[in-house]
Amino acid sequence: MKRLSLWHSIRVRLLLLAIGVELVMLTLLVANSLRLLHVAMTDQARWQVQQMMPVLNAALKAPLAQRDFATVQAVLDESRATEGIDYVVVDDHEGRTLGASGWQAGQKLPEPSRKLPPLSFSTMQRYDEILPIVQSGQQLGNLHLGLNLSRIVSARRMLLTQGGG
Amino acid sequence: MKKLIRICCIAAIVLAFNMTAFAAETFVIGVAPHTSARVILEMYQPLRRYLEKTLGYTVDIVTAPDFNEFARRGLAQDYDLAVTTGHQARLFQTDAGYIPLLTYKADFKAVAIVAAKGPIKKPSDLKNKKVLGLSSASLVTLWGQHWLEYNGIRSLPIKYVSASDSVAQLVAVGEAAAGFTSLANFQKLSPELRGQLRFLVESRVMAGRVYVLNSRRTSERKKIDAALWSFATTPEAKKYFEANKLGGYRKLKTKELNSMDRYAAETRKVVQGKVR
Repeated sequence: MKRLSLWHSIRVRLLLLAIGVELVMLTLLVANSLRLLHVAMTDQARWQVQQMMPVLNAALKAPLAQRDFATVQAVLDESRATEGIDYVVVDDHEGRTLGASGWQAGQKLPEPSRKLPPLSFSTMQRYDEILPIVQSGQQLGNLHLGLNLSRIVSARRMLLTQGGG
Repeated sequence: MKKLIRICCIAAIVLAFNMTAFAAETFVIGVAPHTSARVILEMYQPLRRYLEKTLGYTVDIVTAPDFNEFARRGLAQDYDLAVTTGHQARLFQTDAGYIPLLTYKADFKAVAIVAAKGPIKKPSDLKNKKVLGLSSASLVTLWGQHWLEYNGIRSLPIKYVSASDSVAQLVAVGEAAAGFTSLANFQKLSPELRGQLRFLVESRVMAGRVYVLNSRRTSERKKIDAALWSFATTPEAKKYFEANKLGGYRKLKTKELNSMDRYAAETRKVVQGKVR
């Protein structure tokens, strides 16, 4: 009886409505923040790869033209000195591996991550890219690179837990 | 009759299969590392594109880190067509069965360069001085060593530099007293750099860059030879010959490469590891 009277109270109804609106607003706010973060982080990952690829490409052209695969391997190993790159592989136009660092021989190389789908982002730990290595119109090989996304994913997770909490 | 038809069918299938496999393979042109790898790739792109179009193969231009390695790879049959100086062409011919095809019209000479305003005026000034070469198996370096010996000059051991433009730079800035390079590569230097250098000596004409075909391509020799000569008539080739002062292609004279035997023998020793 008392509960019924509370439900009929205009104050209680207004309070519940206010809480509901706030919950909806909070959900929208966190969702939008996650979307913005996703866009920014995706752009950053792509930008990072775009910055790295030409440098690696330039460093690899001469040893590839000389078929100096020891130098190719040294360049690949050194490029992974920082933790940002999961793997880097160079293969020729027939798919033969010429040098690899962080990638097991014989394992199939991943397709490039054209775009990062927002829903799978939390499970996706790597951004994959392929770039042809070309000098004066001659293709010397392909550069495969996997950028580690763990920092981006943990930033997203932190926003979700702390923003929601 | 049925048996004959069956054999013909099998033969046709095998032939078709072999032709498909052959068409898909890569034709590798090895160019001796007379300058930087990027420049070599750029220089030979018109030829690569033309041969791809004419022969129907995928054609790759490759080079090597130095002349010694280039010689090793040539002897190991790594190249279908090699473009290299006369002495290595002779070595490839005698030791690996390559077939000499043609060379450039322009004379090939080795030169010893010194700084234009430097203290080196005559060969004897090089005594106990630092001298640069390309690598122990390069023709200009071998010629330079002979020239030093002939003049009784005991310079410091020759230092090897990967590209002739680097040799010129180092001599111009005084890092070395002299350097050996080819006249063609000297002429390709920037006018500013050439102005800082002068010749101490110039060699006689030698067999320059020679095109030699791997013997595994003997059956296609006519086709490849014809493609090279027809390439020479194209505007791209003329531009390339003019830019590099090569004058076009010419046939090799009979036994022209034989004069390179002495240098070829030294390269053989280097490749076999009997000389540093």
